[in-house]
Amino acid sequence: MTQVKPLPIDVLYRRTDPGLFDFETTDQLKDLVGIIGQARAVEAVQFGIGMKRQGYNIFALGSVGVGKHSIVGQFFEQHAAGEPVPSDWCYVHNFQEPHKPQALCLPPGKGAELRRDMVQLVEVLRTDLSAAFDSEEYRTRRQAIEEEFKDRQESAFKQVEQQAQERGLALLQTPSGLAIAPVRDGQVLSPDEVQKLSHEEQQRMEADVEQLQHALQKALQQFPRWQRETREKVKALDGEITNAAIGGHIDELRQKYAGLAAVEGYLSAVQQDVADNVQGFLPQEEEGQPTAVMSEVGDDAALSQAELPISRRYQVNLLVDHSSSQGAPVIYEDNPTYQNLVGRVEHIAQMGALLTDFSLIKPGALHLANGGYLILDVRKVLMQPYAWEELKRALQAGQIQITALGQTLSLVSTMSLDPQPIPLDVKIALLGDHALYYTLFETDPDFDELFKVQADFEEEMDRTPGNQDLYAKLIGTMIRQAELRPFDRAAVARVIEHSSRLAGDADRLSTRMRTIADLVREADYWAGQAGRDVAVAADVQRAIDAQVYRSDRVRERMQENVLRGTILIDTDGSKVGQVNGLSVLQLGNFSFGQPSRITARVRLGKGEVVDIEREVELSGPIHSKGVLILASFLGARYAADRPLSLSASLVFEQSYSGVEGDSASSAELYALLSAIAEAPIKQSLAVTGSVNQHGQVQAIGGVNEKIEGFFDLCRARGLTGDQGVLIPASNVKHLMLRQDVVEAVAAGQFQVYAVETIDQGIELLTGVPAGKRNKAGSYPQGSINHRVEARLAELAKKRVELAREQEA
Amino acid sequence: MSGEEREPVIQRILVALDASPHSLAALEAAVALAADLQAELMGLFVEDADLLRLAGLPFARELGLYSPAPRRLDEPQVERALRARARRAEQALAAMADRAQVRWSFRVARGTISAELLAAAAEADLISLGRAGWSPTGRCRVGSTARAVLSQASGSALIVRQGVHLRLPIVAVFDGSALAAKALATAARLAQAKEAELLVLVAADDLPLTEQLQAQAAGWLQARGVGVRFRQLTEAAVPKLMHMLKTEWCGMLVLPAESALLGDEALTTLVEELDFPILLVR
Repeated sequence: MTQVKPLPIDVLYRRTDPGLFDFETTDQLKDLVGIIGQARAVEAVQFGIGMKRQGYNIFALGSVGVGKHSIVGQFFEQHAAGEPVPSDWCYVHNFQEPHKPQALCLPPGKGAELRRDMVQLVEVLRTDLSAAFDSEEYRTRRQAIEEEFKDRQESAFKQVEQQAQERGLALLQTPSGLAIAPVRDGQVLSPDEVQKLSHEEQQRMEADVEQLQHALQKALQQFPRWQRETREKVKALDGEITNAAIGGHIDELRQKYAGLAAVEGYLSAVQQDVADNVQGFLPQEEEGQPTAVMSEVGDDAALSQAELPISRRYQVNLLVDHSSSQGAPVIYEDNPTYQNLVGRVEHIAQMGALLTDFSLIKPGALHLANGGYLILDVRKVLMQPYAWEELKRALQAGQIQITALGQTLSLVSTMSLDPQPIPLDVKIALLGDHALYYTLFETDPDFDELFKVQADFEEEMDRTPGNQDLYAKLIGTMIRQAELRPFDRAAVARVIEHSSRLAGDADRLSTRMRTIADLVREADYWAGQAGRDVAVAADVQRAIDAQVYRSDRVRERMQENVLRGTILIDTDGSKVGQVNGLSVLQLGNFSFGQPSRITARVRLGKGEVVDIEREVELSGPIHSKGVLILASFLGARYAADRPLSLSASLVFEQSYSGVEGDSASSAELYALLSAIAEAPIKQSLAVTGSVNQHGQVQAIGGVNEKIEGFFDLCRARGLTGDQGVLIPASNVKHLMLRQDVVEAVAAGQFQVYAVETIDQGIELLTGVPAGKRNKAGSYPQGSINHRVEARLAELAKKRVELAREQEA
Repeated sequence: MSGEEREPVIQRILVALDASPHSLAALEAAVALAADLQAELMGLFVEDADLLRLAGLPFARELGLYSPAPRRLDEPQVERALRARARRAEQALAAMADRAQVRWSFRVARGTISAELLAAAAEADLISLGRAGWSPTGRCRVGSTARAVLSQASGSALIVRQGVHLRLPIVAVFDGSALAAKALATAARLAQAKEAELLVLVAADDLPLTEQLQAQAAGWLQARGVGVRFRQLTEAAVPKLMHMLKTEWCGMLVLPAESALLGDEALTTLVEELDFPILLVR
């Protein structure tokens, strides 16, 4: 029997030799320029930035803390700095269709200028127009128009009055109009007096009255026409005065913004609108004061003012102001709600009604990032109602259209706006994890079209000497940026070793820089506590230990349960059909190994291996798969030519929650073999590893935690020197064991065995050779395999006999 | 100053009301005056006898300004319309007077408007009336009633046009006559009530006399503790006066009802041309 030897210490923990570094403390290190370990992602990001076609937006996928944001942000910033500053965007009033504010595009910085100019223009117009309309010229001309109207009225009345006088009649005011009355001596004739007149006189009088009434009626019928004419004349006069007063100012602006067709068009519209609404610029006149016609004529103009006051009407709503920007914008929207993305239209409450206008349009992240770069956290976008759909819509349409969400959903029916869409040219980087990327890829048909660049971030990098140097530089950069104490090279080496442990692989380093940064900061804290100016390896170790201790409560309680015998785990002696399996528990960011007892019982049966966990649905599919594989291995290896006439049951003892994963399948197989061969298994050993149908032991995850889990239990009970763990040989490269484990192994108190096959494992566990088939095809007498085969043959025979008995 | 030293007393103010915009302005001015002088207001609404007589005629027709089709005019209808107008006038008076805490009474008379007003004015110290009554053209010429009151009333008269309120400063014209002294005293009273400065236009034929009159007025006003500014009007012609009044900001003009210097026509012209309230003191 050539038993597998325990692993030597140097493979249990791969040290980083501080002697490799040519610096004393990180102070001597230059800042790291560039990014390490993310060549693929970096190239993708650069490609995405360079590719100016539609749809080449970037999806940066990787776990939390690998530095997606900082890398994408860094590249965006670098490129943006050299790119032109994008245009300013303003919204202005649309005088034709007030509910569709007009968007104006101006060269960077001009937007703020236009806003200032318009404010000034309104101020100037107020004074100039007041002065113009207060001038003697205007007053005289206007009075002349009004006098003309009154003269016409008066002469019409005079004419009637004169005719009346000639016939002894007078024009009299009644409560609601005018009447013709017969008069004598300045007094209206009373009915009695009329009665006294002769019949002819009466008839003549009546005829006269009627005739005059007719004349008066004709005169009155002219009035509305005259009034209209007067109003038109006043309006023409107003227009003339207004244009004379404002033309110069507007022309000045027109020259200033020459070449910007949209602005020139807007200025013309302003000029027209000012002329149409000149009353709004004039100081409010006291009710009914000077000219009567003015208040009549001015009414319709005053009404249209009600919709939007002068103070707001000519404002420029500067949505995007690049007056002080350098290069293209890089925006990170950390709250990507629907409104924060595409902008919103606010309302003001007025007399209980919600009103809005173009000046209440607020920009969203897309506006601010337009012409540049936008970084979004995809999870946040997806969590905000409608934000994802709206983002896609904007990218597909290539324009930003602000629509009130309430309106889209027909939830509210307040006054709302339909602002002119703004063309969108932005490079978007979504940050998210792999699961989200693949989910979106599968479920959203638009996703592939809009986010064509996949920047896949590595979780790990090779632990080559070159990379370790870079890593040291990165740590140095981190320290300087966070203004921490310098680390000496041993401390840096310890951080690198821990990074390797975090990667769960002695040949790799973790690229989760956030975790590394945390460790560095915490080590700095402990160095401070210890009163050191330079952080040393002990400080790093202290930080690691403290991290573990802080998260360790549950593990400690579970181990206590084992030590007190509540959970039954043996660490010495031997038992048939019982083996120590190892599992890993993950609690938050802390994972630890936990031994559990796996037992197997066998009896005569029809060849089924019953996994009790699976029967009660406490196991996941992978676990069940492992069990089925080992059943198949058993049958194929030992009962290839006869029915497998055994019924076996496997159970994770004292496991009350689910079991998932196949890392216990080798342990289960060992328990089963032990039960069949009735060969006791050493309880001082624990086992991990999955098994395939050929009996090869395959790699599993969390090997370090599993070993440490069993080690902790053994140490608590006292190390005997026999104890150890069987791991798959393919997991050896992952070993980055804790220092105390390594020390115990060095002292011969604990062993780690790497096994490749079930045979190697069972030999270690039982101390009995597994046995190989000889040329005749049979296993050597006394070997485990032989015992298993013999037992199965016996069971098969019994079963045949039983069948015969039943037939008979 | 002369024997007219005694203080002018304005205890009862008559307001001619016809609910027209001008008359409402007159009412407002009268309420303001009454409040300042602690006087009593007497509202008077005159039902036009001419109108009622006309309504009695079988062929009487009415033509609306905006609906010029002839309508039959009958007595009950006119009576109702007049009553409604009287009610409106009374309501306006009540509302304004109560707000200013002024004692008031209201009376409806029937007859020729100017005759009734003049009769009622005899019992009052001052009559306040709108520059014109209801007018088809809305023009602000001085109406026939105002004309009659201006020329025939025995007491003082306040003429107000639509849309104008009593304001400061109070401007008084002083030409040294007894009536002018009374006017100045009235103006001083009002200025005192408002604690405001008085602007006095001293009018005389030549400069020395002007200076003399100014000194006289100044001394008199100083004794009453009224602040004053003076402007001199050496050429006592109406156009000159009007020009001065237009350049000086004027809130209310207090004039002697008769002035040898200004002439008889002057009053009508001033009332016709000037927009601010004019108080004619008699």
